[in-house]
Amino acid sequence: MTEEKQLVKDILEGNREAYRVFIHRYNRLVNHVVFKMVFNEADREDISQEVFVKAYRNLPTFKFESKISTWLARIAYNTCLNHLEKKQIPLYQDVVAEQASIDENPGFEVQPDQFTVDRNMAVRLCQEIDELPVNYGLILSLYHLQEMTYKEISDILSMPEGTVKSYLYRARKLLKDRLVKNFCLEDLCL
Amino acid sequence: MSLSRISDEEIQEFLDGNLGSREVADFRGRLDNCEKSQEKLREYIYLYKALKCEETHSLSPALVEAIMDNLPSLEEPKKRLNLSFVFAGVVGLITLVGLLHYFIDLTPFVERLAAFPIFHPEFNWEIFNPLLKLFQKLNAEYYLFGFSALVLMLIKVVDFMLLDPEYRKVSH
Repeated sequence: MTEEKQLVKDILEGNREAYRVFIHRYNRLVNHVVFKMVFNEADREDISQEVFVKAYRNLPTFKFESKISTWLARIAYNTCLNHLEKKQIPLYQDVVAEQASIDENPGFEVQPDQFTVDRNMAVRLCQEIDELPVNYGLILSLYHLQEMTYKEISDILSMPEGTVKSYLYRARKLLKDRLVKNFCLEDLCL
Repeated sequence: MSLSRISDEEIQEFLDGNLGSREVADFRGRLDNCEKSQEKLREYIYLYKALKCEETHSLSPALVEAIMDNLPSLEEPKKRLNLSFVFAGVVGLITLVGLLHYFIDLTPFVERLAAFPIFHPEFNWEIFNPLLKLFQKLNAEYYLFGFSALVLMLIKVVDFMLLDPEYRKVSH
């Protein structure tokens, strides 16, 4: 039995501490989805909590037809979608951002002195990704940080693999162009 | 070999490892001859590295505790009667009986069955009288009870034979 299956079995047998392990194992994944889709700090915590409670409630119905990470990310994605719908926040505000040229949409300006003082480029990268359309940022995170395949991402977002691939390509191009314009790319990798 | 400038898409395909060996050779050949493409590739390499070190967020210990405190009790998955399974089960049973009847001479079996006292025309049904009286006393439609019990038993049998194993494997 794989480690993943054993963990689920322990949880289903009523071992609550096993669920703590589950949370620690998958909290980065859930946060990647939630942070990419929801921008309000307070809402993010509530949604992360809701995702893990939903996952716990639905764990007995999990059939291991997909990876737990894919299943959990889909729960997180749908929970975020529901939240956005409830708050009437359009998911596809991204279309505007996508169509706007880089010059019209410069992101935040970096002053030279500020650039040397603030070395936390990872945060800056996050901010640049947050400027991208919601689905673009999410796909970038799932592909590059969670190392998911096109198929897994397409299962989570319920969209064809071709669309995922095309979004990923456009997201990287858009992000690269923005970063080249605003930063020295080498510094981002420090 | 095409000497045109390498597109963003081709560079991403290369870095994702989606190109075949021949395409990689072609890619490298074109790269050697185009400084702009080399510059673009360098930019993408930095981007890929940067994406690997994107800041990640973890749940605070307090939030983990809040989740643990709010966990509901685990319930068994609700078993839903899948009508297509029931239909397949009934059709299967009818087919089985039909095939048995066609290929096997069931006469001895039927004769033995007929020999059971309950199927005998002179079976003394009065032994059930106390039970019937009890139902009458309750002012109940006993045949409705009997029919319901039979249906429930049938559903249980179908549920166990066709559905239960599938649900069992869900959690294990």
